[in-house]
Amino acid sequence: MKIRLLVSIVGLVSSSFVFGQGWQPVGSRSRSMADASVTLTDVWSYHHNPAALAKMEKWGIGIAYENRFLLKELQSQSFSVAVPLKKGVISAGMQSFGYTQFRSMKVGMGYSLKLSELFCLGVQMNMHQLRLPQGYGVSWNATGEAGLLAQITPVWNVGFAVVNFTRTKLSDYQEDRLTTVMRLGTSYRFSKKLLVAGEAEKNIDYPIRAKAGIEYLPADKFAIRTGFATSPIEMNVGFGYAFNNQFLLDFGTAYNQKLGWSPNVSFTYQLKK
Amino acid sequence: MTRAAIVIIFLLGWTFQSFAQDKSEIIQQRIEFISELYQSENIDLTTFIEQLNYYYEHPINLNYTEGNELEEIGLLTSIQISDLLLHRKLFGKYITIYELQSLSYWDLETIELVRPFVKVDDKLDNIHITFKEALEQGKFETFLRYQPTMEHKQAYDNVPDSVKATSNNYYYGNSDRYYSRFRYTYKTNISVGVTAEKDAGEQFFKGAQKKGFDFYSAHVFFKGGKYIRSVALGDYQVQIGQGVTFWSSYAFGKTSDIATAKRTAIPLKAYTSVDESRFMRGVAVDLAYKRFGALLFASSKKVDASSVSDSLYNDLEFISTLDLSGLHRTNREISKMNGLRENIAGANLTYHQGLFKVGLSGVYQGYDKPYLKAVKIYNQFDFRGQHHLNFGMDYSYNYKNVAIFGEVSKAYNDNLSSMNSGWAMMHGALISLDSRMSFGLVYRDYQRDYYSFYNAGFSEGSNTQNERGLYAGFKMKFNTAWSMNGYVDLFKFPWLKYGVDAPSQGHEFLIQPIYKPNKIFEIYFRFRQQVRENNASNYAGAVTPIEPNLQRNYRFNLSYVINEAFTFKSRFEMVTIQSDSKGFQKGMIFTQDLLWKPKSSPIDLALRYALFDTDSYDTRLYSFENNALYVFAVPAYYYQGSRAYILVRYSFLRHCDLWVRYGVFLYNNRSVISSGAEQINGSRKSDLVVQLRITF
Repeated sequence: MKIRLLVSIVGLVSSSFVFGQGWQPVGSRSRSMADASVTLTDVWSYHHNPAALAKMEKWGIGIAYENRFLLKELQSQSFSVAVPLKKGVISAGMQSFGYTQFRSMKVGMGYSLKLSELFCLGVQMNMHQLRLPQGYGVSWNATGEAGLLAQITPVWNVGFAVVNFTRTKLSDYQEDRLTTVMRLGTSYRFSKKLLVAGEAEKNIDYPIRAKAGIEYLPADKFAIRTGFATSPIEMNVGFGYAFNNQFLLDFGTAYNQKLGWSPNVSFTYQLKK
Repeated sequence: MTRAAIVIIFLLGWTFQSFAQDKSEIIQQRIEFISELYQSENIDLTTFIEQLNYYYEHPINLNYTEGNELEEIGLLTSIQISDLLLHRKLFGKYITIYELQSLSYWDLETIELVRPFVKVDDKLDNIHITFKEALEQGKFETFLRYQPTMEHKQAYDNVPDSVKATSNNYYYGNSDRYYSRFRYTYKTNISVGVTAEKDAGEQFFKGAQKKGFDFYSAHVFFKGGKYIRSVALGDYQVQIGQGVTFWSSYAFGKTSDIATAKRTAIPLKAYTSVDESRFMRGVAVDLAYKRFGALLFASSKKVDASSVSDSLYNDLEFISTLDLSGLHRTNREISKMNGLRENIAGANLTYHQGLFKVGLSGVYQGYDKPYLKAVKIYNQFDFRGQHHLNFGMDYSYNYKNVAIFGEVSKAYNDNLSSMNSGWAMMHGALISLDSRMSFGLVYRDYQRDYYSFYNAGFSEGSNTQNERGLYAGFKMKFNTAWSMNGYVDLFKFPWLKYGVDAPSQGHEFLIQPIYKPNKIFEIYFRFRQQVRENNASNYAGAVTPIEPNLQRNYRFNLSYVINEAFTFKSRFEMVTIQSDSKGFQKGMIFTQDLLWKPKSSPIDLALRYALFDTDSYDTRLYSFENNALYVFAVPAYYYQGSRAYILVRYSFLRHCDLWVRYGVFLYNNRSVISSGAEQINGSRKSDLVVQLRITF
């Protein structure tokens, strides 16, 4: 009975939310802005737009955790690191989602390059593990990700990213592929204190999502964020604090009318600029 | 002089010049904006127009205002107001209006918007009034209006009185609507007026209407004393706090402008509209002493209601339904006339210190007979009985770039049962994140057993009851040409509603990018999506399921001031609705307006031609129409056909204005319009308004 309930919950959730099967948004800053994050640069860009990492000037590392709808089976843990080189930025990331009966994991590396002040690009390769015990076994597959980031004015950016442009198949015997996601977004910086972002996201299996987010810094070290996304309707709120300007603690939550709260938290170490 | 200074002077000059525009344009724009937001056909916006007109003629002195008047004009956010007051406190009185540009939360557009309604003057307005002055400088205004019904309707069939006496399908009176109004005003300080109205189908000086008009309203109103801020005698309006406890007039719903999420209560106003139920009749006074204020009011009026006698209780009479339409045309409507006396008494005590305000209110509402409407599952928590009490506490506070506001209220009824004694609350904040972006939030939680008759709390539903929701909106400006507004609202109705046989929920969001490169040209696009749950119309089984109804509106609007005389406006709007049981339906409307207002001519003209095509009444679209002053028309366009109107205004003899408006709907594939008493045989429905105003 419990299993059946669980399966139906997972089924419901997966039908309304994009996760596992290839890609899930990561990092509390992004989540709190309803994942309108394709143009944002921080170490979490690894999971949003490899091109945005090209703007990293110092190295950074972070871990993140999210619990969807307060269900213990729907937890995810993530990690990412980015190190600027002489030319370009090299990065690595990892994400794990699920529980003993269903677990998906992604791990990979990427490289990002600033072609000019106006234009960056980035590529990534990730390995995906999908594990369903009880006789279904484990699959390993590789996907390719790519992104672009362009600056229209110093305060206005547009970004584009695609997850799994390789349309990787999960297994040979069935037409079952890891999902492919395309994101096109923009962000506008009103001032040092205020950033507004908007984005359209198309997952090959689901209707297009419109997303918008705001980040406001009432004080230098303190950030308040909020966001909204459609299909399905989701509202987000979150806070961030920078200790000593290097340790960033971000936390927040997403809210869905039917399924409830999804709290998230991330710790990031970012070298002082 | 440095170059920077020259640039500044040039900028100021430009700002100033743009104000020299058509006087009534800003008022007109604002009213158009307001009436479209209501999305309803018969709404009376007289008080809004009057407010703007009034401040146009008597600009607010920025050096002496306490902020209240600035809130009343509705064009400024409370953050901008507190910014202005703070600046005055720190740097002293304003010397010129241009100083406003140095305020952090004021942009040029805002200044342009309020410029016609404010002034900077060192002198305090003299509020001492002599009788002679009042007579000499006062303004008399008379309105006469005639609105005939153009096509023959079933209800006006020539049938013998014996048939009329046994039917509710025939109207006793003639098919004309008459309206007249007389008003004397002295600045904003004194207003005395009488309004009289007869609706189409109502009798005139005979039958049920021996006194002539069906509805009379009169008021005497004074405003402007130091201790007695205002006094009203006769018909008046009361507004308290955020409208959760008591608010007798209409208020904004959700609009594309977040600033309207915060209510600005004007404690006491004269009533000059013709809505026959939503007003107070009696005496009211608004007192002030130092930081304290006290509004006391009492009202007693008859309302339309149908009663039932209970033979089990000594033929005790009780009221089963209230009728708020104000129409008295048929037997049934006439029999309901003045069936119930409604008594209201209330008080609102306020205290303010700087930008902090708090108020306590208590309102009693009672009837001379018990009001016991039929119990249905969905309405079982509504008020039933004879006496009713509401207590509320409201607050507002501005701190730097944040304005918070809210109200908490409790209801009691006379049977002292746990029913009908719920709570209601709303809390909100408006935040200026930047001089170019503001953000607003409103949370409300109105319990299913909270009840108040006159209210206007921020809500998705039509009442301040049975609702929980969170609204967030923004307004941002990217540069001089581009800006964007939007909001999101998530709501839940914890109990059943009419037509919704289960607790339900939904959402609504709107986004509106605006391109306005200069004062004469504007394009905007608006997208709105709304999901609400309603009963399914076909289903299997005994229990009615509810299903989500998705509605999407797309609007494209263009307006262009071609030259001093001509304004050109185009709009295309489409709506789609979708639900499992009704399927997919759509509707569209395409309108073209041309306004001609030459500066030196006594005549101006407004013309419209529109085509509409909707699959059903459910996909109807509302559109604002120009009309004679104080006549409001936001008709619903539905089915398939064309609409055209012409409005002519002619000013003559210096004191007179005449408006004539003729409009016509021509439907396709339709030989009958409406049904029942209102049925018209034919495919044409037209309307005529003739109005004369005399001022001296």
